[in-house]
Amino acid sequence: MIDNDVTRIVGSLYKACSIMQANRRRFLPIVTPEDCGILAVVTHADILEYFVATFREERRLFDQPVKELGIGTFDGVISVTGTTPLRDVLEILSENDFSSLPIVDRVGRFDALYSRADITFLATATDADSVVVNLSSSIAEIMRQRRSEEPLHTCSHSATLQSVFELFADVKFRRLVCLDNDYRPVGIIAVRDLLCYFIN
Amino acid sequence: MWCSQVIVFETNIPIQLAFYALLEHESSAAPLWDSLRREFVGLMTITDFVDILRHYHDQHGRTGAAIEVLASRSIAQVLADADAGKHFKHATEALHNLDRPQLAKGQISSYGGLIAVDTNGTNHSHDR
Repeated sequence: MIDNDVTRIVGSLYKACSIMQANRRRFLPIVTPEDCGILAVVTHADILEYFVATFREERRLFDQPVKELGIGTFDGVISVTGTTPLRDVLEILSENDFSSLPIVDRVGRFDALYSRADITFLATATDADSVVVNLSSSIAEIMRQRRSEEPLHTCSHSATLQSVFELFADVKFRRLVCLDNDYRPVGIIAVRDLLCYFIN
Repeated sequence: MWCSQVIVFETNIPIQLAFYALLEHESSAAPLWDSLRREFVGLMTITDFVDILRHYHDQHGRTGAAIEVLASRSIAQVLADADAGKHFKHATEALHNLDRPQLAKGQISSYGGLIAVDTNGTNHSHDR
């Protein structure tokens, strides 16, 4: 096999996961060896969905809390309030290589999740100047403009691996926000975190 | 299991067109094809596009004109931008690391710069 960013269809899923993990990639093109065609561009979610569909009933997973198992981000969760300009939110996401950022209310309770791949601010813009205006708008305002709302999925900070996995099997979340008893975001579990746990 | 259609962008198309094509196909990533070198040279994602846009916005005075500068550029021009800095990291890293399969002439025919390749191995053109 090859040790770079394209995986050929003869490579294993394990190899594909390893390449994505090593390079912190969210997408991996799959190449057919005979004609160099690109067969698919896979994500962590695609691979995890396959695992779930294939192995769901075979083995019960740990009833240990995900936090204890070290799955997800629990240290250094950054959240912002709704008045933060979109520009600053994008800066934080980029600087920390986060794929999403929780938005909280004045007392720190979880309100919404802004995804880095959300392009509402571009889709609603009518010209170049309105893109600039949108970049200065508050994140709360940008969230209000969204056409389709991505469902929010949360869990308790003591959720077990089994329960998180079951939730993924049911709703195919991309991210799960863990809340403490006061509804403050204390952790984020991305699909990537779950997959990385299984392949390690 | 996986989406059967993959969009591939030729690097000579305007980056703005690529962005709208990603949106239209509800796709969040597309491999980049350099038709002169006849090889894949990177992967463009929605997230990259947002970072690139932010970079132009900051570098060109945070005005609408900055966005128009970006809109007028081709993917290749953006990739070659010397001031790109860290925001292009993802895309340019892919440039260096991608196993570069080369195609014999005529293996993929392109029409108007945008190629979609499906799993049956046939190519569909998309008119601009």
